[in-house]
Amino acid sequence: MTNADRSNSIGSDSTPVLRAVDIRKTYRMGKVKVPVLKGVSLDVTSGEWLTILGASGSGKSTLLHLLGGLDKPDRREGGCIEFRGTSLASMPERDRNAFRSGSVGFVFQFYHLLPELSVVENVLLASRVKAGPISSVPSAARDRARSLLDRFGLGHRLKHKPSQLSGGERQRVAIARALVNEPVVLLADEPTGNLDQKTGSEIIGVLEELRASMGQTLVMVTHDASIAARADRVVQLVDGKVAERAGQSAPNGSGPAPTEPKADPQQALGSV
Amino acid sequence: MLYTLRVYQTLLTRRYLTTKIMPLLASLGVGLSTAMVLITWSVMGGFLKTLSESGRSLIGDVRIAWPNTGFPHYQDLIDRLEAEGDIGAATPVIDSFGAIRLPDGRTEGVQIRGIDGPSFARVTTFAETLWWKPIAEPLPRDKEKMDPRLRARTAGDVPPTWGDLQRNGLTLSRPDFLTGEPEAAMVLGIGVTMFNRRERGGYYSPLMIPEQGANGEVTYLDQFLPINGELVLRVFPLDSQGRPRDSVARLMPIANEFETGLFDIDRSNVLVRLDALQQMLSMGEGTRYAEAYDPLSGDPPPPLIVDPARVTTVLVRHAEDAGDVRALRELCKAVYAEFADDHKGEVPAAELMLIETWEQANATMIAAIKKETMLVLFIFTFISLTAVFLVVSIFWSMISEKTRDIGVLRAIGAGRSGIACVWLAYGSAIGAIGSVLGGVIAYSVVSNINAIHDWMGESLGLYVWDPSVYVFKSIPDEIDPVHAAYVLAGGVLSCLIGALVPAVRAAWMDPVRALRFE
Ligand SMILES: Nc1ncnc2c1ncn2[C@@H]1O[C@H](COP(=O)(O)OP(=O)(O)OP(=O)(O)O)[C@@H](O)[C@H]1O
Ligand SMILES: [Mg+2]
Repeated sequence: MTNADRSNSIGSDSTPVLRAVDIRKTYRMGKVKVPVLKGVSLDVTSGEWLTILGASGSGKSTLLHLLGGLDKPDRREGGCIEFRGTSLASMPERDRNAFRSGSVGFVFQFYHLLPELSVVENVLLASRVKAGPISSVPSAARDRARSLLDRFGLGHRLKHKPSQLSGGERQRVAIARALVNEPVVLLADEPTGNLDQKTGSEIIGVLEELRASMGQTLVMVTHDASIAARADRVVQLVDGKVAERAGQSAPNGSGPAPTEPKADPQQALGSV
Repeated sequence: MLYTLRVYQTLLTRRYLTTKIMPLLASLGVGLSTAMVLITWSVMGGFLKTLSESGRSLIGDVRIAWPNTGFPHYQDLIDRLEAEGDIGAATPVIDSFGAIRLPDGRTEGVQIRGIDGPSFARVTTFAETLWWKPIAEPLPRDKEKMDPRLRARTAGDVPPTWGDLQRNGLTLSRPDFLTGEPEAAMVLGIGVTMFNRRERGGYYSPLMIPEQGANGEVTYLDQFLPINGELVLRVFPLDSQGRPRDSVARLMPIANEFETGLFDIDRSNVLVRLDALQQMLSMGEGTRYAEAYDPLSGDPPPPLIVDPARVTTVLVRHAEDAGDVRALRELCKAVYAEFADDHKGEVPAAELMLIETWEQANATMIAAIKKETMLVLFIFTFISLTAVFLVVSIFWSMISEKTRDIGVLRAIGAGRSGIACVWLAYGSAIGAIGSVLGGVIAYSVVSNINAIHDWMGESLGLYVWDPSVYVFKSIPDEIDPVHAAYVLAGGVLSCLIGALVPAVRAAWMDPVRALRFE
């Protein structure tokens, strides 16, 4: 699934895996309403690498959490998020949990590994949660965890605690955890935000490699235009709305999104 | 649907337990609280049990009494009672009071019971309470095997065996020195004379008896009361109207001593052979002229009237050990009513007669101890609520610390109930560990409580337990398994309750906020 898939994802007629339609999210602080997302529409097509670029506080994380079913849009006129045509809001809570567990995988800026668990246990935690009330993790999941960690160069550190790892290694463990249940979409929230340039670049390399070898659909949030530049498609969050990358006319980003992987990072940054 | 513990909860519970010091402290707190409640319950419950058992063993199941003047024809009543299938045995008793004069010059007020040894032993545990008798096994606490009763003979010129003393005790008589004829004798509570020193092993060493000479000098005689001791017993007879008459004193040998374990009773009760006491109290059978008669007048004497012997009390025992005493009391009432009908005018009417169960007879003491137990238990249970708050606060802070973990768990698909379960499982685990710990602590403390107390007394001079203040001679040292089960389950439950509020908080935590938590 490479060329055909990718061209498919670019094509306007392909059904998106994740779709956000006119999302609004307002935070309330006492009587003050803080509108963060003011009508965001977005399609994520299978196999694509979409980057959401935006300044700090522009609502990137908020949008990612909404896409992953961890948060809900405003109750009134908040729009809706669909996964393969099914609205997340219409799902019962159990299905939404199952969606988070099996269909998406989260990677966070601060890794968020559980300090009491070893590397392999952290990865397998996602399998355990997914496995439900059975007494052991399927051996397929164990194999997958091991091979993912092997692949990320951590095969010899399975029993180590997160505190014994460097930031880049921790983030690789976190990515393995997000991938262990073979999610349809990987949602990464500034995965390099806490790392130095070199390590961050390595992490992006890992993600690129994943996408190349497995066709992993990837939605990544960043405020770093140089990282955004490596994606298939970049959308920008400005003032609570999506602005397609410079040169793209569709203001809401819901239209076809021709990929311009080598977009000028400076320009992107400048527009923030 | 029953929620099965998911694998990730078990893993997290185990890890949270083994990597943090807090849960261990919490378990320790829970353990101490559980131990405290269990120790209290065991000791107080033990008192109640000892009291109940002693109360029953001392007066049998039902008491039929007409205090002071007593009632006649008691043997008829006893025969009627024993004819009933539900009644195992009945025995006549006189309850009175008097004083004994000890060899060292002291006079002690005592409760006097006139008893018929053999039948009294059938109704009560009299035979077991007799102290000076041969024993084959040392008492559990007598590790040095120093109990004199373990030795075959006692000191003395022509020493009687412990078996002789036991026989003397059961019949309340002692062979006369010179003639060898059995004389009526007393059996004293083991603490009456204060000549028996209670040893740590739980047995008594008779002290040498001090005797005050005419010149006021005190000499110590190597005497042992049940072998050659005699005491002056003074009683206060009443006339038929219940008015006191001149006191009557008699020198009476000591046959044996008894130990019930109830301090008050062992300290102040004296058993006397029934016929001897009847005689002293003028309650024995007697004859008199029907009207005043002067033998010197030469008139023919008026007809003689026989006054039958009287007792104040008849004690009754159920045919079965755990028989229903209330039903037995009703039966006794019915039997007595018939008896009173047949002896109209001579014995008190059935309605006036005091007929009560052993529980009623000891009601004030039992109620006092029951109330005390409840009160102490209530206070300690209340204190144990601190354990719940301990768990609440520890969990609250742990959940604050683990906020991000909760966010992560939600992000990877854990449901609210799953999150709550992590904390509930964690709480139960702390409760279980704490309770087991508490059970172990309580068991080791309670089963060694007397040793601990002795040790505290000896090395620290701290005697919390004063047998003259409390009713019992030693601290109960057994744990009721049912109580233990309740308390341990309570420990787990408290922790579960303590974990509940934090668990609900964790479950309803907004995952997004949890992830943003710094
Ligand atoms: N619980 C909340 N209550 C009130 N305001 C909030 C809350 N959560 C987020 N916000 C506000 O919403 C806005 C968007 O937050 P968000 O974290 O999505 O931004 P971001 O683009 O991810 O920023 P960054 O790049 O710094 O991570 C911010 O202004 C933030 O202050
Ligand atoms: Mg953010």
